[in-house]
Amino acid sequence: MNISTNIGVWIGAIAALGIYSVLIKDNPFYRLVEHIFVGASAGIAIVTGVQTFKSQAWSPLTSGQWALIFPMLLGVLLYARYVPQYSYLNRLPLSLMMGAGAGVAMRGAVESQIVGQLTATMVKLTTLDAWIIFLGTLLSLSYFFLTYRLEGGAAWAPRLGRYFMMAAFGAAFGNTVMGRVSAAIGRFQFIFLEWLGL
Amino acid sequence: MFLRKTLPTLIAGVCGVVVVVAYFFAIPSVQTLANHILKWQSVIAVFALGLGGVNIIRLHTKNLQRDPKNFYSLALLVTFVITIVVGLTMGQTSAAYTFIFDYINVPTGSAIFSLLAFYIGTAAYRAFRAKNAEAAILLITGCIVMMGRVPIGAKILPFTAPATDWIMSVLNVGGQRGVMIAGAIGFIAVSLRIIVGLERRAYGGE
Repeated sequence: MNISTNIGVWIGAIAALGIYSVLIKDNPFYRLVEHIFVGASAGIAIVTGVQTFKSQAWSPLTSGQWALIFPMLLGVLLYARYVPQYSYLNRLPLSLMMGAGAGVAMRGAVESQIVGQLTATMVKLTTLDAWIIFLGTLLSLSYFFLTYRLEGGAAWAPRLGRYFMMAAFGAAFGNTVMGRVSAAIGRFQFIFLEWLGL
Repeated sequence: MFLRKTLPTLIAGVCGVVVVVAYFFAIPSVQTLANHILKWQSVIAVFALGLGGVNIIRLHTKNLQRDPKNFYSLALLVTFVITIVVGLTMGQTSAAYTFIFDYINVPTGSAIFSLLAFYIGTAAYRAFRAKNAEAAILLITGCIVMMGRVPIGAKILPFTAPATDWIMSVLNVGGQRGVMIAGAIGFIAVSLRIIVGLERRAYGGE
């Protein structure tokens, strides 16, 4: 056993043990580590935000891009929520963010999720696998056909689509489990090898 | 009324339409305008991040005022302030900031991320009870993928490794593609509602 003398490794290992201690039951050690993590993460986010502000807004503004004063003023209006009689003013920057965000999301959805996926589906159906992917896509899409209920002979399509989706969800679940398990193994390796030096 | 309702709806509509039109039509003036809007959006997003920071300080200061022995809030505030001071005064490449990132943020975040590995067992028990055909398919594909993803699983049941590859590249693709396309259509519908002003609650309206 060759225990690490690095203070950082000690802090990291104690923090990991604090998080895992919740597996026994909720306890003060876990809650303390959790709060420290939230504090550090929020601090890191703020530091990153300030650097982004400097590079995206402050430097261009001081070098002559005066129009950037408007988004800054709009940004300040977000804080109007703390002044009850003017709180409605925070809707102005929020509406810009939501409108632009909706536009970006819309074009992203059209490009990658609809056109991209349809293009990848419409290939030459020369193999059994290509047929399964093609039919799986059509059948699982039929499950979301909500204009009216598919009945009688057509009712099998959404049912088969549901089976395809369940297979996909099962695969996603299995993948997630293994991803988390490998993360846990990584942490245990850190504790046993890097910290305790076993 | 104008500032409370009409102007936010107009801003959301114009910004949304400009961003969408700039993508589908090669009109240089509209594309320039869309680039400006997106830059403005990223600047405002930084202020929104600051708002989150202010909220954290307000909430935990209130907690401390209510109960001065609340050392969880104290620990959070101290870590928060130290991280910001170190990051802004010493820089993001300094040894102190790297220490906070490498030895507090990363190991704790990884431990929280991996915590799900333990809880997911009970979730699997609930999800994988083969009560009907759908649950049985979920159970079979989930188990095959879990076995096929680890060397020992593939050693015990050799067929699971190739079966996992086939499930991931064929069955999974077929099922996920339908979900993705249907989800995208729903996403577009919600985005359109925001742009035309039918979803004013998204930006604080009634």
